[in-house]
Amino acid sequence: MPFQYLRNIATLELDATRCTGCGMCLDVCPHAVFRQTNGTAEIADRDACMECGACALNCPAGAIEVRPGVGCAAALLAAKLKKSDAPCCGP
Amino acid sequence: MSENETVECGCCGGAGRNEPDRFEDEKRFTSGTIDTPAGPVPVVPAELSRRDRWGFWKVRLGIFRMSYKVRPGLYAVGRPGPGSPVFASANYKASFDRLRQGLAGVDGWILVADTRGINVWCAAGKHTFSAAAIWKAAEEARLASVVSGATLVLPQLSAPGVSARDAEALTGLRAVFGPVRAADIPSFLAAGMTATPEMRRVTFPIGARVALTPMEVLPGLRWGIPVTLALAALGWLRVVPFPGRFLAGFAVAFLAGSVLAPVLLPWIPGRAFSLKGALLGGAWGLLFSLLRGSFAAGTAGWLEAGAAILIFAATAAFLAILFTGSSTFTSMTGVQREMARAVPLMIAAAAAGVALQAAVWLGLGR
Repeated sequence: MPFQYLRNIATLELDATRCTGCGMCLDVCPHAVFRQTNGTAEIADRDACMECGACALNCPAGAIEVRPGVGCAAALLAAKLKKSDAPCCGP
Repeated sequence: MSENETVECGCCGGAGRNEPDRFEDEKRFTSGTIDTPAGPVPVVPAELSRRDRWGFWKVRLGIFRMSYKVRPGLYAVGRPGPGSPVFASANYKASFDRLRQGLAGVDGWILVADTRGINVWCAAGKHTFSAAAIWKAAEEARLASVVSGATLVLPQLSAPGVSARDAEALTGLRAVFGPVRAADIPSFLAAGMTATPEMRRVTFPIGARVALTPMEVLPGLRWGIPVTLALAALGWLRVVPFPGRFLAGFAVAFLAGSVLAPVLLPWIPGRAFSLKGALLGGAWGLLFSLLRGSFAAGTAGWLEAGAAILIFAATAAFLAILFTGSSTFTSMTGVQREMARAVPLMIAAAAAGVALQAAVWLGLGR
């Protein structure tokens, strides 16, 4: 049973017109967010996206954008308390 | 043992001590060397020693977890040659040990990059584990003189920080992403470096969730125990009445949020972690009040029951939301949204609970 977090929240965007069908996004995604149909990638399960950024970094065509960050309440709280912009997960 | 220790990072907030030269003693986990054109390379067995296994327990329990490092460089597993695959690793020893366990029966090289002792996933997220870091390790180990025409196998969970294309361009090796779990490496290799969809998915089974709970509980005990002892001392000195039963109830609420919510995670209603915690804490508050006889104690009793339910719900909700950082599927945007909604509610509930309890102490309802 796949774990489900909040709905309609992921900042993931795929520009299918740039997609070359290399399949890297399918290889690197830990939650099977993408599928490939007729040689082009598409988002199969947006709500499963944890915004890790693996797909965006590894897409050779720059077709994917996402705002990566740590899905960690403690890091966000620590950043707020220290008034810094970047939630930090240690070193 | 958790298969997912390279994904979760149950240590948020700590500055981390990166003592540059404190590495685990190689003599304790290497079994000799093999000669290469770059000099002798340490050989590591694929089987873990008792000391290695104790190391996994230590980090799960938070004992010296921020300094459990392997010296970066090249290591050998089995009897590798110039064409054997090169497996990239972080220099967190638990990551390294998990990798070599997966290489049982494999002849290969392990290239350990300097990730300052941080595991693959977290280091990749911070871009500490990157193509550049791998290249730096390869250069320093003179990998180019050891292998030729070999494939660089990247842990899939390094993908947020490692671009396979950049790794290829820098090292000159063909780079592929291996499976999420090192245990799947032999099957991955046997299938010609192809992964099944299952090998590429991260799950969050109950064993993994249970293994994370010590780090949800132990940090809380660091202040919880002194505060309780202080209150007990003040109570013994008759400076304040010692709220023993309430503290016991509060401790259970703490455990509801830090242990029960993670363990029962998929079965508790609600998508938000704080909601799951609130449900458990609130239910405990209700049970606690029933056991205390609050509902048979007039208006004051009902007010105290309300206080317990609100405070325990807020406590468990807060601890449960802290588990987001240890989970394998929460996004930053999602956690931001959840926090924006849940934190004001938790504060309001706790404040309301305290107000109700204070009202009872001040004589309301009697």
